[in-house]
Amino acid sequence: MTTTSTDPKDWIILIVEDEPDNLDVSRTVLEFHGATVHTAVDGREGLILLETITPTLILLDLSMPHMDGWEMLKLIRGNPRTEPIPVVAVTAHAMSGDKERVMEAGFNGYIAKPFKFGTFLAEIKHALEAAGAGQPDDTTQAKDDRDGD
Amino acid sequence: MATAGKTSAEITREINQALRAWRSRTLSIMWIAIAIISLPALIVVIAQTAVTGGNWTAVILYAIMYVLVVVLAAWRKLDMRFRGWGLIVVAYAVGTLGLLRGGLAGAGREYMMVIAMLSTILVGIRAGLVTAVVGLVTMGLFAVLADAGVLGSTLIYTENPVLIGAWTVELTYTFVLMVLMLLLAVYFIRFQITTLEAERMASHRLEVINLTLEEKVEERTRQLAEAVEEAQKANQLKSEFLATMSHELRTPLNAIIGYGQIMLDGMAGDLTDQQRGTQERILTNAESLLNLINDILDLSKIEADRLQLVERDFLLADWLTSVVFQVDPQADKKGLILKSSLDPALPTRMHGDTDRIKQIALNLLSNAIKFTEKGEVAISLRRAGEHSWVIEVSDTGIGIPPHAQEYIFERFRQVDSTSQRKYGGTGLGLAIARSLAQQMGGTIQLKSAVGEGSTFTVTLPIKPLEGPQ
Repeated sequence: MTTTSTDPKDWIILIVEDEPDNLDVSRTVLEFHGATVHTAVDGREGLILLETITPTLILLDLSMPHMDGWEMLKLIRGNPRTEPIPVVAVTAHAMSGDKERVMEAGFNGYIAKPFKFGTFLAEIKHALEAAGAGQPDDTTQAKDDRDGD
Repeated sequence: MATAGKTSAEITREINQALRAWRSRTLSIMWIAIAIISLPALIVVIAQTAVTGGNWTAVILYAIMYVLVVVLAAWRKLDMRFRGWGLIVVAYAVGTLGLLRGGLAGAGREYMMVIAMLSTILVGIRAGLVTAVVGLVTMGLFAVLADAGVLGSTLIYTENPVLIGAWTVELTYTFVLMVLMLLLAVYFIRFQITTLEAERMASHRLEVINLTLEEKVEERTRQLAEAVEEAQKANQLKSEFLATMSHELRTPLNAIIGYGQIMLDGMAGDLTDQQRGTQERILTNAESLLNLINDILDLSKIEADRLQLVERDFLLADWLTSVVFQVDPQADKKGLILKSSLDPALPTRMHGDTDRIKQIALNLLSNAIKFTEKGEVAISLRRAGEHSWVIEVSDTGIGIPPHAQEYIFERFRQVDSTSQRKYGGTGLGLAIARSLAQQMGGTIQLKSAVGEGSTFTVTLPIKPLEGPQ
């Protein structure tokens, strides 16, 4: 059901994101690399979509109206069919401690906004590999872009 | 005063209480003394009657009286007036008996004088006056009786003067003495009351002062607790504001940087060289903006004391390697030599927030590389005494003039605005480094001369390890 392929052409990605431009950026870069992309603007819509598709991976924003990322993750994990799908948080919550909170909640990866495409794709690959190997991994997450000055 | 303490009526009541307590105690002692003194008398009377076979009725009467004395001595709850007047009546009876037997030369006269004083002190001034008058009237009566010759049969001392004239003279002496003693007793009581009053007033004032003091302390404590709570609330709000601001700034920046990359990577079609150049400037500036936002938020967070240090044991050599690894490309790009050294006197394992210590080192190293055109940049870790260690970052760069050394750690300050334009950067790196060092209980110092480079010295405490050495 899930692919561990690192080739974006084999990916079916569901992006759940309420901000249209951010959604567009993620979709553009993924489609550019050949991935199939489905989109939803909040958790509720994302869950409805999940009844008809089984993506390789879900990119999930955290702060959204109607149903936020935290809630949606719980419901994804609560359904045996969607439970094994890796879910990566893509969020502008990027202060210290946010990443730890995300990983503790059971996400398979964390991408801080704004992201570089290289980091973005690497994190997705990493999450897929870790999920494929059947073990959650929290040692070599891609670094967020915070080494300033 | 009036609101917090007692009224003067209350104080008077208190004094009366104290006086009553003292009188009660004194009466008890007196009754006990009488009981003890009259015990041998009782025994003698019983023995005499038993031996000579005298009148047992008198003995029984004597015994009943003795029981009464014991009851008055022991029964402290009994109304004070009974115990007081009881004593006076007994003394009066004894005195009258004395007059009957010895006339004014016997003990009767002393008893009459003493009962006046006793009742003044033990019952009250009015009682004293009444007793004095009764005593005098009794003695006067005896004088009249003696003159009439009625007493002749009862008086045992025949040599006593029994004429009215002699009795009157003696009575006058007695009267004068009695008045003097009464005055003495009255003024003594008055003095006692005044002393007690002063005492009570003083203690009362002290109580009021204590009460006020207590109230003040309580109020201050409450104010302090409120202030702390308010500060915590304000801090909480500030933290929430920072988190929200961070999120809200990053969201549009993600779109800007994202679209910039889409353009540059040719995802939106090919670009001319000029378009590419323009796009690159947009991206570079967007990234500068991101760095600035990160720095501002970081600094605000550190200064709001919200920063939670995540301290753990770490290998110092590994830490140094990763720091060097991170800045090596920057140094390389400018053709600078990057040196690092680790003092063998330092423990191999240390305890601290590796990420935050690294942030300090990276800020200093980036600055050093930025302001050095040729030569070297060095980071050395040294031991500085028993309890601290030092991260020293030095360069052979342009140096910092003395006047600028004072404000270089302040926010948004570089040496001058020209250097800001020339070298870029937010001017927050050093402020962050200093705040972090302070948060960790350390300090940061600068030694520099124009043209000779700069040396930043961060001194941090060596913290005890969590795990085994």
